[in-house]
Amino acid sequence: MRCEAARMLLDRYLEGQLIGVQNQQIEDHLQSCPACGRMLKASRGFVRLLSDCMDLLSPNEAFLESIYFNVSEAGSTRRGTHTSEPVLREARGFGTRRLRWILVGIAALVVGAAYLLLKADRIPVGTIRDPRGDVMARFASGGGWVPVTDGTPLVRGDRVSLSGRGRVTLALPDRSEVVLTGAEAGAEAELVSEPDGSTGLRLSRGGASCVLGPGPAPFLLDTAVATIRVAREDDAGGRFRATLEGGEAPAELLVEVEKGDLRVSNDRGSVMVSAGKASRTRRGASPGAATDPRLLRDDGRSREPSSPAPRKEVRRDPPAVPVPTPAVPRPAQSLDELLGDLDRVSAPEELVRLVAALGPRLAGAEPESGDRAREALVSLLRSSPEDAVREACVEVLGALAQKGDGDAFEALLDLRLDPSPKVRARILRALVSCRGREELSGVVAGFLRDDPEEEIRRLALQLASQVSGPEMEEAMLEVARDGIRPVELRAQAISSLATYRRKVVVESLMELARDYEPKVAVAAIGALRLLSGRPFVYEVGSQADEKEATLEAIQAWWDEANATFEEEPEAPGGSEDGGP
Amino acid sequence: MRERDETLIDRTRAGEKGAYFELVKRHHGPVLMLSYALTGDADEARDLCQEAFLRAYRSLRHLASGTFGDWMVAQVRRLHEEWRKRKQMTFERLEGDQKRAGTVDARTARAYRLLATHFCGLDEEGRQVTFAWHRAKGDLEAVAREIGETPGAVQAQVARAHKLMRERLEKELDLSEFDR
Repeated sequence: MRCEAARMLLDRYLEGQLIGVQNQQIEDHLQSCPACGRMLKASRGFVRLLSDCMDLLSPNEAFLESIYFNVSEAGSTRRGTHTSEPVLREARGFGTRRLRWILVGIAALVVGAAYLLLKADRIPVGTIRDPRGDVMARFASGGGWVPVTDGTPLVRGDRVSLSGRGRVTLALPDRSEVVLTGAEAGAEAELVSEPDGSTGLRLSRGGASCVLGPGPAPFLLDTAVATIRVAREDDAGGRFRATLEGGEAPAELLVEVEKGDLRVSNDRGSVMVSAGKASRTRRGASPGAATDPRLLRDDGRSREPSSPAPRKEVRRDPPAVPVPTPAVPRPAQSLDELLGDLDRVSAPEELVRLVAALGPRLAGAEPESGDRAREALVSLLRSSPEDAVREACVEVLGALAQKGDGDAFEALLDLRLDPSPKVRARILRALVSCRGREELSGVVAGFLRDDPEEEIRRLALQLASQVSGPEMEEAMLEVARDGIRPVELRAQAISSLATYRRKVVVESLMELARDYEPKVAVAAIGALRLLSGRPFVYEVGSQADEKEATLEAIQAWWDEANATFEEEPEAPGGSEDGGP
Repeated sequence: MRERDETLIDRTRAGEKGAYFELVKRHHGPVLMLSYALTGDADEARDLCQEAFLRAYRSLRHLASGTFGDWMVAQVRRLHEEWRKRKQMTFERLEGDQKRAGTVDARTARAYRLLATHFCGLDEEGRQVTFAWHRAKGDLEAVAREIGETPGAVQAQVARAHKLMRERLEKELDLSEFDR
């Protein structure tokens, strides 16, 4: 038997599929041919390696059950993708076993009550939602800082920490939501709950804003300089009582919200804050005085421009309070009026229309109004659950950033990991349209490497030519070489590399020209054709010897041209378009 | 008749968790291999795989186009990147942990990891069929029934997948060392 014939039968021999004469022939050949013997050993080694590796990773039932359990516990998705109907259908199926289930329910209640009594400290009083950036927790039960994910329950005494510019929402049991935001130095807070039922945070770093839930339980924010408790005064309306401790004596404030106007009163006077307008104060007015906010706004003589705005840490977002939605914005509305409406409106369509209307008015706006508008847009982009609203905000912020507004650029950069792919795509386009920013190469490279959406990774590649830089080159090389990525994406990355006249790029392309994926090899040879200016030809379906000839020609060219290519990566800012 | 992934996704979106479990059953093998290729540690890989399926379930509404398998690959990569940043993990450290844990020697750990990487380099069909073939202990009929193909087609797919993985591994390892 010849080696060629023996090697063709090797796999079947290994699997024990050969019988009789064929089996004998191959055994004789293997004894007399060391090369085929080595090949047999390698084949057996491969099969064993594959088998052992898969055994090591072989999931057992417990592993699958743990996934099932966690998915079952996850419940419906956050924005209501799932309905409760299937659950109801399952419930109907119990039928005749109802009594048994009632008994089981009673037993569960008894056990639950005992558990609550014994383990009061372990009752979850908050849940992590939508963590962005590095969010860590240190649990009261012990241990160090560990990363947390969406849905992690928190109990009293657990601490949450954010890296710089991170953000996380803590959902409290009464449907209140506290958004913890990190400044440059990050944020750190401890979850607290007190015997009177109040739940909240002890904040040692960073900032927090809160949307109160419908429940009567007071919200507590304990900071280094003051302790603030806010409780709802009525069941559904907009009356809250806030107590501030930390000054000489406790101060009490009555906060009333009506149609987007906010009135904060104490025994010395009241402060009016109309949504999107400067605040006015009127000294001496009693807290209970029925004052028409519009009269106060029109009273120029009573104006005190330096009146303090309400504390940022206890911001009341309008959606927490049932307020009537105003009508469609009038075409002639001023910037201030638009901003006022923006705070009042909750319907997504209205918000989109208002945000779109803001864009043209920002061009000639006063700096102060412009700042307020930008802040409102960033806040909306950060907090709106509606993709369409966030997309509209990105559109306007992108236009501002393109005109050189650094804060708008920073905000888009900060919020680029939006959960919606559509919004992320818009943010990516908006960022890339801001030429001359050093960060862009790294940012686009990040999208290319890490974005979970194929479409966005493709978009990042399409935009690659506008942000050339070392990070981009590195990311494209990584994608091109990575056999796990889709072939089309790899081929696209390879084609984009044709503009980088660097040794490492050419050498990688030469390696990729031998890739077992024909499309990858074709793209690599195409890129080498562009870089060399030589007519290297290879197409999918070409004969193996044609490809070999092309590869030899490439090697010959590279031996000559090697010295003319750059060794080091381009310095940041060295691109032709003025530099990223 | 085996239900298509797209149908299972639609059913999951409509609230049927059972449909998602079917997707998990179908795809957990390749996802585990990818997790292992990324982490180099079997326990870590299981955790990553579990977390990826949970996260995918929560964000299934974002899956607009493409296959579920490729989408899961992207999910795992992204999640791993987050983990790596948070835990400051490095491959060296992982391999060190593995050595200390005494599970497999460093040479075998490297080989497993390379194998897992090349496994992930297969197309989705190749990944599925290779895992199913191993799980069925080489029973082509059983795999054919599971994935709705003929035994001949399964054999061809398995052979192709093995050939691709082996060719790549041979450039990096002496496979005969693993013939014990």
